[in-house]
Amino acid sequence: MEKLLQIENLNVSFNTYGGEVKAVRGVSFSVKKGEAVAIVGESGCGKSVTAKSIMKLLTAPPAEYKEGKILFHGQDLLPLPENEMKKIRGNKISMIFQDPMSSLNPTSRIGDQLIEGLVKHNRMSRAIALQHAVQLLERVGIPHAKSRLKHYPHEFSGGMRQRVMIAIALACDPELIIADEPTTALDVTIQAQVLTLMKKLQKETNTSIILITHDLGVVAEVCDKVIVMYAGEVVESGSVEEIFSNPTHPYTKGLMKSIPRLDMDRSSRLYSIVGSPPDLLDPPKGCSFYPRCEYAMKVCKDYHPELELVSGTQQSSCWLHHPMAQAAAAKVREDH
Amino acid sequence: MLKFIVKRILWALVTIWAIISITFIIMHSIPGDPFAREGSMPEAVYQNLRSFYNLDEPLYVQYGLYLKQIAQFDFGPSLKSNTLTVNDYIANGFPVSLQLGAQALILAVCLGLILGVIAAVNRNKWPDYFAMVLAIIGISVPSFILATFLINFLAVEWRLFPVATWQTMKHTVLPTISLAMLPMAYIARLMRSSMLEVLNQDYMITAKSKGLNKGFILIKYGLRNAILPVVTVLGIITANLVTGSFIVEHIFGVPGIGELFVKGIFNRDYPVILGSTIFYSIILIFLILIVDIAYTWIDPRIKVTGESK
Repeated sequence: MEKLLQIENLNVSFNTYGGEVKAVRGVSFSVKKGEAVAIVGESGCGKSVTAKSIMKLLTAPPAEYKEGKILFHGQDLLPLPENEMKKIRGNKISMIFQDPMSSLNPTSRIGDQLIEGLVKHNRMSRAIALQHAVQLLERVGIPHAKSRLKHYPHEFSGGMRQRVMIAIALACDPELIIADEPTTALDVTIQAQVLTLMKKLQKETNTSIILITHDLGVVAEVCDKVIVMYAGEVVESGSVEEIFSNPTHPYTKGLMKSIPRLDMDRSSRLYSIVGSPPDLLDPPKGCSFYPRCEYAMKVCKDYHPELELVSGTQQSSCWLHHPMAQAAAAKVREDH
Repeated sequence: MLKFIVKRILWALVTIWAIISITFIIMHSIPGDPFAREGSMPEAVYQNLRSFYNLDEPLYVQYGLYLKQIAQFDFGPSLKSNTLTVNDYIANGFPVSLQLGAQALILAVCLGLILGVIAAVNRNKWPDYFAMVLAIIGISVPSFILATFLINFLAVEWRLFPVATWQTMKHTVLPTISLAMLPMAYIARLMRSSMLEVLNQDYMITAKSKGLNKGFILIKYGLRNAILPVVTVLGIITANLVTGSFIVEHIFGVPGIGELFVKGIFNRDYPVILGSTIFYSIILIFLILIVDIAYTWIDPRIKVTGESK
């Protein structure tokens, strides 16, 4: 399959009064046509920054794209001028945001917000664009689509608003949709509806999706490939089957163990990874997960592990995979 | 909507009645009376004058008479003028003050909004500093100093505009600028802070992610959402501007109604004080009603209803 998007060694920093916060450090991954890729990790691990970098949505300054390439159809987006970026945004790549309550313009009608992209990118007249908008709303399952166009965002429920956001993202038939925690702000029941909808639309249109989430349940539901990020780096990646059946990085293992299960003993406490992510003003020299890792070795403190192929398509950056760490690795296997 | 307006007008009547009563009480509790200062007046003349204007009646009778008069939209005679009534004063002066105020309002709103938006978009860069220095000057320099400067440079030194009086459009330029500076500065600062807040909203990123043009985003997403606080103060600013400024009108010799109230107090001219207070209140209440209606079409989340609370 063709590689639609390829990110190579992306480094993004924020220049703050306190110094340079290295939010994304050497991230590389690729998205194929029609593929759904999940980026998972806890808050502040650089998921959203990576996602927003793809469309260059970060305000620069303070953000700075230090190095790397974002190849979309083989063309590097990072050096592209704003005028060219505008033709890609909303047209070839579109984005769905976390909070549907705040990401729609409260003083503008839904219809207007739906057609803005169409009028801009496809040079449609308002009337034709509005007809198109009705179809879009019907596709995302909003009843009485035609009369709903005249409504304002506050007249919709949270789930409905997120459907509107999805409709806006779909408007110009983009090749890639970036969904930044699209279900986090929704009720659990609505989450499932929105996910099912996204999955269905993705199958219909063969659009690629980058789904950013910290909910592993969502990942298993929707995605083909998983990228686990920690402290601005990719620590493990692979297909959904690989990651879920055989997580190899201790951080991924920790994430898996933290998922609450129905068959869990009620008296036992839910597992959580002790500690908090490192300060990205001054990232650690060695493995960034070292201070929180149950299996940390001496080497982890001073030497940074590289992302290496573990099996199949699965890559992981951990010293435990090193031939010299056999004994420690055996102990890890015992624990699981 | 209609129910809302009717209800608001009824409330306005109650408010105006309260304002009349309070002003009436305060005014009469100040010692002295309109004719007391003219000491050389014979006692008989003084008593005659007092009884002519009903000043010798008990206060509650005067109050009743006054309310009756007001109900007929008659603000009464001026105690200091033999020929002019308060209605005449307002009819003569208000059109002038209204024109001057309207011009100043347009100038203040346009410049204030532009400066505020430019400052917010270029936060902590030189356009921001420039706009905010201008705003601080506008707020801290009193209009009489500004007016004097304008007269000295633009009128006396460079002879661009006439020094004073009220004749052609050219005569209106300097008083308009003097009057507009303070509200302009105020609007600019308000717009800046409100715009900064809006620029950080999620929907601004949504707009950017759609590939829309920056100018379009700024107006449709930015301005419309940020303008509400400005509209809120606009009612009061407008009322202040169109009812005339004592200082600016005095300096430029503008025959408006700015002086009316101040002179009225000096002279204990009861009908003039009451008349101008009520006139000002009516304008203010009317403008606040307009502002409330304007809210609903600027921000669809705000709904006006006739029901209470």
